[in-house]
Amino acid sequence: MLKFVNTTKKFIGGEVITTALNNINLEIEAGEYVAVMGPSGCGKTTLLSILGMLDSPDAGEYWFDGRNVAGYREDQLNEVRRGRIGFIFQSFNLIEELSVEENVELALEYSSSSPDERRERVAAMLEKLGVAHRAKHRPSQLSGGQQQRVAVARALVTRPAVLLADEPTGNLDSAHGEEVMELLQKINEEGTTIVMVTHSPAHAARAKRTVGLLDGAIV
Amino acid sequence: MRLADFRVAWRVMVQEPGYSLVAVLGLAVGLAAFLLLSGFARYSWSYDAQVPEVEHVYMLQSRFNLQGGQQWQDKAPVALREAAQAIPGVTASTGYLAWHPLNVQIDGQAYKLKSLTALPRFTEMVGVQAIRGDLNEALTRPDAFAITESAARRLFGSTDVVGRSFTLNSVETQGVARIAAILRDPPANTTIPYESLNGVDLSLIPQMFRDEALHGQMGWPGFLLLRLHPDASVSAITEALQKFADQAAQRMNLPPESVEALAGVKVFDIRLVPLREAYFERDVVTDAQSPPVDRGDREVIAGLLAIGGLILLLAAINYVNLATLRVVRRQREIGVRKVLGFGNRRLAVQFLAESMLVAIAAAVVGLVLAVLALPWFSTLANRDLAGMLSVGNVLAALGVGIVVGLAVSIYPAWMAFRVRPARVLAGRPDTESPSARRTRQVFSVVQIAAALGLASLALAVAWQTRFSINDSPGFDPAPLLVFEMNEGRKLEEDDTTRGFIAELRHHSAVAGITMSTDAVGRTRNPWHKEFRREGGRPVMVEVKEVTPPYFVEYGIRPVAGRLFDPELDHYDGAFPVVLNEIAARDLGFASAQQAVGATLRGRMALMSEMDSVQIVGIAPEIRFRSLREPPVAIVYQMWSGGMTATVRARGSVADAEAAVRSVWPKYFPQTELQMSAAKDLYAANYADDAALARLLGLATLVAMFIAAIGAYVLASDAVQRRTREIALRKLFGARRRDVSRLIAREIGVVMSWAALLALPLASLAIARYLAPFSVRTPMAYWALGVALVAVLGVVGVAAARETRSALTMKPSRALRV
Repeated sequence: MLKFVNTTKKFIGGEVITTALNNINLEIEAGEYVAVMGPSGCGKTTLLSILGMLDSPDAGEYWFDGRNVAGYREDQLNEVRRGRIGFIFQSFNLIEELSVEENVELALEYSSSSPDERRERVAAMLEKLGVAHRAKHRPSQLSGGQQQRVAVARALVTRPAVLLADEPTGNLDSAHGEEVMELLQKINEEGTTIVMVTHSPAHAARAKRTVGLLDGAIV
Repeated sequence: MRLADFRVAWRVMVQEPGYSLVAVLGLAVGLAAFLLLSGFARYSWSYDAQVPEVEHVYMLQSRFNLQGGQQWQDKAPVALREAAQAIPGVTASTGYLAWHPLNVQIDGQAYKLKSLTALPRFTEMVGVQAIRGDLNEALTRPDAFAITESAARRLFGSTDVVGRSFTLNSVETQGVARIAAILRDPPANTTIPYESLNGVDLSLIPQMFRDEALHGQMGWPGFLLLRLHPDASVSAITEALQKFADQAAQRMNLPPESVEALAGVKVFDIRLVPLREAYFERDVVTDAQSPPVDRGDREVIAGLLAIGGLILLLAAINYVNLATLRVVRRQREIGVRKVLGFGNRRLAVQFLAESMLVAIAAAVVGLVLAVLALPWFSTLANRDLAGMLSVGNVLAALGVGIVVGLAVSIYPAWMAFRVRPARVLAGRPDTESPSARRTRQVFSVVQIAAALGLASLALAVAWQTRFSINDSPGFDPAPLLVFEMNEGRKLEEDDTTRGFIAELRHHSAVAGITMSTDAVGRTRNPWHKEFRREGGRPVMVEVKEVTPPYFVEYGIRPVAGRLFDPELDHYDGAFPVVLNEIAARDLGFASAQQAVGATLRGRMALMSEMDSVQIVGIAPEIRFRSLREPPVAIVYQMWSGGMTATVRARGSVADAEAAVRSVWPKYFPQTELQMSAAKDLYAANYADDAALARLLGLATLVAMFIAAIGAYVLASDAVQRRTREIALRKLFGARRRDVSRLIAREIGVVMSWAALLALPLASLAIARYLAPFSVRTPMAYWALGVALVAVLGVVGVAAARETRSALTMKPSRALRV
């Protein structure tokens, strides 16, 4: 489903050129649960960005669901990404000015579903993730674990084929972190492909496969 | 505050040159605009301030009620000068006359001087100073006079001309006199302008005029000034003067018809007006002898001062907005300073130093801008403002800059006080509170509303002015030139004038020439006569005296009957008159056609005899006055002379002008020719409206500039605050137009509030401005729509950069993916 072929990504900062991904080859099948591990600066975030079509490689190919999207423009990447990829962030990235249900509904704003359908799906997802009773609250009124559940709800409400998680438990205590990991397991069992970046070997062990990255290369 | 604080402040400024430039420039432009507009207001309110003890000096105004029209004039019977000297409370009385305008001959060329004849004690009351020569000698000797330093430079290239003799010409007299004194120029803001002064003893002045000037036995009017004792009662002195005027009126032995026409009203009304108010006396009627004096509108000047203050406020708000955003961006630095021991007091001093540095830089730049813009601003304002930027004013400007610097440091400093070091250093920066953000949005609303309101008003005033200038006066002024004949010579009595007209008439460039008591667009010599039709009631009607070719040369066709015809009408006993439609209606005729052929009985104000005149036709409305004054009833009478000549060009107006200039010196070598295009005369009625439109336009440009900065800050704030949201929306599939709409909606809310605030107020202001006009442009209220579109454009362009950055923002960076 997701395939890197000789993919390279560099960042130029003044006179310094940093090679974030160096000619990597990686394939992820539909329904897989893959953990990506490595030290800081090894290219995990860059890998996730390209997987989520938030960035484009400088060389090589990136195949998403049978299409090489490596040379696509931003608007083309938007079109491909819309509704197919969900994101979960370490810092949740919820919008404080919106309520919990509005945060979740944001993910459906650019879909073709009607307002009524959107409201139904949001309500169902909040119910599923056990935060329906907080629908009218603001994110700052929720605990860390609840916020991450809301973020997961937002990621899943579009019924994505792929879920990308960037250190989803990084800002949580162990108990809440476990809750989130359980949730991801369940989601994967329902058929969603998951790629998760993590520093925790214990959490990585829950994935079916672990990919190691070091200095932009797969080890 | 230490030097180190300013050093740090300088480094902060240099670190972000773009921001600093915008901050300094925004404040500088606001300060410059405030300086210029407040300076103009101060200039306007300081008219005649050079007169010693001006607060106790009054001018006499009078109203001669027998003539009809009943308008106050800035002159009074000269006899009141001597009468005033005997009234308790009057410490001095004097005056000046413009009966004998002087032309000076230099190398065979005549130059007209703005000359005044000074009555005794004039120079002392008004504070005239001689910088060379002997002023007393200049005003008491029959062979001497004085000129101002700028007149000396204009005519002779130097002020070293004391003792030189010249040939002077005045009304039918000529003589030689020498310059006995050079006078300091009167200030530009005076209602008593002059280039030369002479005494009543100047040999050019006939004895009859001299006697009248000193004693006023014949009741001629002059410009009279009184200085009153500080404790004197103005009403008591006015009453005493009124009594004298009433006694003089009794001696006139008015015919019963005149007494009846007065219907109990006094022949003369007298009033005292403080000299400081003279500049604002816009309704006072002037005549051909009145020195050309600017008049101001108190309300307009107060409005311009308010606009200057508003612009300064907008500029200050702008700086506060920018500085506040900067505090949000500098939270980490502020957090570090607090951790290192900076208390709130030190923080306040630091922010004060930064604001003061910006404010002082802005004050200096603003002053430079004001100095550079002053000549251009003077032209815009239609006033000589060269002396506006005195040392005192410059120091005051720097003071204003320092006060503004103090004021604008308060809010950013308070924002800095609220920064929590633990949070910001842990990477969790404080966001601005909702109330603070709302406050800044209100600031932006005010900025944009000000630009919208000013733009609407400026456009409306400009359009009305253009409409007024281009409004047809009842004929096509394009081929017509107008010039003064100076002395109202009568054709049948004066060979010189007859010869001049004959030669001009035969010139190939001239189609025709006519004379009248005044030009269209300028009513300096209005006079009235009583007319009545058979069986009708008497009506006071304004009379225009014109020579027979008048209507032909002006290209005017009759509404009914015929107009004066040079072939048919001569000065041989028949008294044809032409009426306008208003006169026909006022005299009781049911229609214009009904009036043709009818006979009217006419009577002059001081006579009982009546003459009979026959109405030969009805003329269409001619705009002798501006659109601010409603048209009045007019009777055209034939007269063989006049003060004003009008020439119609056969082809090119420039050729006709050259023809007049070539013929004039042959017949009037002692008199300077002063000629203008007829359309320029008419436009002169709206010179102050045009100046107002230009000033409002300047204020609008400044306000737009500040609003643009405000819009930029608004967009920048919106993008900064919603960075994460924009990134997420892009993640969820938002297209470029969706992101643009997000920013546009935020700015649109501010624009909507600004429009709600500004447009009703602008409508009121426009209505108030248009109220005195009898005819208004249909486009006036379109100004609101055009201004709205213009401001939307400015705001859109200003917000474009930040909108573009939102569109090109990489979600991965914003979300740290």
